[in-house]
Amino acid sequence: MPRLLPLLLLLLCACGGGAERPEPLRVHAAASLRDLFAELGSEFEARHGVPLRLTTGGSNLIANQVLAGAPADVLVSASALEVERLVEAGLVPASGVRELFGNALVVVVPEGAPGVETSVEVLLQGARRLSLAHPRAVPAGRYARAWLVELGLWDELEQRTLAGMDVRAALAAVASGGADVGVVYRTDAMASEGVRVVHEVPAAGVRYAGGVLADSERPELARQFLDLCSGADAEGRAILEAHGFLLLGE
Amino acid sequence: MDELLTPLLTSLSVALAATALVAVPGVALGWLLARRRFPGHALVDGLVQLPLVIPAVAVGYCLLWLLGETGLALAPGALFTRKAAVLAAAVMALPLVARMARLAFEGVDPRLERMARSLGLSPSATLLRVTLPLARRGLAGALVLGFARALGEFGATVVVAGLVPGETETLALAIFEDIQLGDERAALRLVLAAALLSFAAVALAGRLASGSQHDRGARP
Repeated sequence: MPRLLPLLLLLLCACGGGAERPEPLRVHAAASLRDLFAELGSEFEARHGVPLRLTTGGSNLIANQVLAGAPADVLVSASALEVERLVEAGLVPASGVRELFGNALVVVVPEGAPGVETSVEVLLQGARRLSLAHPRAVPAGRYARAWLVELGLWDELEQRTLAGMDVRAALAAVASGGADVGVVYRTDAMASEGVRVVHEVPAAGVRYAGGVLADSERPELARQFLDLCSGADAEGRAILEAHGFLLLGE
Repeated sequence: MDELLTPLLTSLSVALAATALVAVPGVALGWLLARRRFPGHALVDGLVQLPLVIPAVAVGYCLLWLLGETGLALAPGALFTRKAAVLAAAVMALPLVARMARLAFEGVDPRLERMARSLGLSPSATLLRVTLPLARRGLAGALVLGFARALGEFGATVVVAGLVPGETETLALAIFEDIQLGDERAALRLVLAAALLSFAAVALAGRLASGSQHDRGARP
C-alpha cells in the first residue's frame, strides 16, 4: 500500500487538474444541426471560453432524453413541438422558447443514379423504397409527410417508406443505395457526398426552436448561445448561411 | 391488433427463413470443428464465434459495407428489404448454431463411428446412419436456439433492414420504434409478446438438450 500512495496522489492531482477547464455548456440538438453546431460551438468557445458538449439525435429522441432526466442547459429541436413538450412538463419556462432559423426540404437520389427527366411526382411514384426520417416521430419526417400529403401521394407511398431514426439516418440510407429516393433537409444533402438533389420543396415551413432549461446553472450563457444561433450578429449569420440554413425575418 | 400481429408475423417469418438459411452451413461447420483437425482450425473457430461476441451493430456495419453503394455494392437493392432482415438474423444466428452443433457432434462417442466403419460402412454412410441420428436431438436444439437468437436480433437488423412496417419491422424493431415515439403502452405489449415467444423457444431447446443427454445415458 505505501508504494501505491504516490500513484494515488498523482491520480488525485490529475483529476483536480481537470477542474480548471470550464465545464462545457450541455446542448441537446436535432441531428441536422451536427455540423452547424460544431462550427457555432468553436465560435462560441472563442467568445466566451466555454466549449459545447453536443448530444445530437432525432428531435423527439433528444427531447425524450431531457424529459427522462438527462442533464442539459439548452435544447434546440427542428420544430417547436418538442420544446413545447418540455414547457408542458415544466422543464423550460414558456418565456424561454425562441424561434431560431429555418431550413428547406429537398428530394435526393443516390449520387450514381441515372439522371431522369421527369417530374418529382413521377420520380416519387416510381420509387422502390422512399427514405424519410420517421414520419410521425421526427420533425424532418413530419415535414416531409405533410408535403407528400399535400401532393396527394402519401397514401400510395406510405407502404414503401423506410423510417429513419433521424434525418441523417434517412440520408445515409439513400447514400448507401438501399433507398432510391429520399426527402431530407437541404443542409444535410449539402453535407453529403453520396446523394444528388433533384428537387427543392418550396416553403416546407421548417422552423427550428430553442429553449433554455429551467434548472440550468448558467442560463445567461445558454441564452447567449441561442442569440448566436438566431443570427443576432454578423458572424453567426455568416455561419448559418454558409451551412445553408435560412435566416428568419427576411 | 395489427400493431401486435404484423411485427409478430414478420419476426416469425424472418427468424424461420434465417434458421433455414443457416441450418446446413451451421451443422456442417459444427461437424467440421468437432471431427476434423485442419490447418486454420483455430482461425475458422474464431471467425465463426466472432458475431457472438462483437457488437451486433458492428456486424450490421460490415453487412452494410458489403451490400451497399458506399462499400462493395454486392446488392444495394436488397438493403432495407426482407432479404436484408433475413441475412442479418442469419449471420447473427450462425455462430450459435455452429457452436451447439459442434457440442452435439462431440457428444457422439467416436468409438461407435469406428465400429460402424469396421463393419463396412462408408464414411458418408457412417455420418448419415450413425453420427447424425445420434446427434439429432442436440442438432435440433442448436436450430431452436439459432431460431431464438434470430428472433431477438436487433443491432445488425436496424442497420441493414430498418423500419419498414410489414416487411422488415420485427418485434425488436417495433419495440424500438414505439420507444422512439414515446408510446410505452404499445412497447409493453410487444415486449410481453417477445418475452413469451423467446421463452417458448428456449424452453423447447432445453427439452431437446435434456433429451439428448438422456440418449447418451441410455447408451450401452
